[in-house]
Amino acid sequence: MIQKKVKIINKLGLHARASGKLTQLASLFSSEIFIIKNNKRVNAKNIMDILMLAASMGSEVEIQVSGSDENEAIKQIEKLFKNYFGEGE
Amino acid sequence: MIGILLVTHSEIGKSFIDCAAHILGKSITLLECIPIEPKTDLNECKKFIEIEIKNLDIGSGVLIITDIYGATPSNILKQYTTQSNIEVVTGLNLPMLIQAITNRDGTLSHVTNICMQSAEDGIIKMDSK
Repeated sequence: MIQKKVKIINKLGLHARASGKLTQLASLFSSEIFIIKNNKRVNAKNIMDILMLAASMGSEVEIQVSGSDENEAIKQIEKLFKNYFGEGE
Repeated sequence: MIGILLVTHSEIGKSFIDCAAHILGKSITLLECIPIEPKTDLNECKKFIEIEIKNLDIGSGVLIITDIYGATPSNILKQYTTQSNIEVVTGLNLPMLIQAITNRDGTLSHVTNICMQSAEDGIIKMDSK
């Protein structure tokens, strides 16, 4: 299992569209993927679960990946966070 | 895949579909809406509903979601609840629609349960924390 903390740097945080992108990316992997914020652990493949974190810009979340493709999954997910979810800001 | 039909007052259903497509970043297949306006002919409306049910049911059934229980759309839909390939749920909200769209590869009863649970879970009294 791989765990990594990432800071949310995009202006709108983990809003609906960003959560949708995260869900779509996470669903490409067979690994189990969870996002943790303030002890709340949710399935990264479920958009409504992610939205329930209400994670805004500046907050820190932990990504937890477990499975055969965990290395590639964590790499791609971290990249999505660092790329501002493709939103440019 | 389960088909989803929104039968709503006016254009609410279309707005929900547009929002869902925006959030999910793609156009969504097997999802349609039928608006009911004050002047809508109810017999015509039933015809449209039956056509959409046929189009949307590719073997797994159709989940029909309407807005308010007891109003005209839900009263029209009452007659379809006896069909085994159809489930009708009221109280349309965006969380339930998103969950229905993203969890519709299982059985009709499974997606219906997820849909109803997420409708409830999506209503939260926000606090200042």
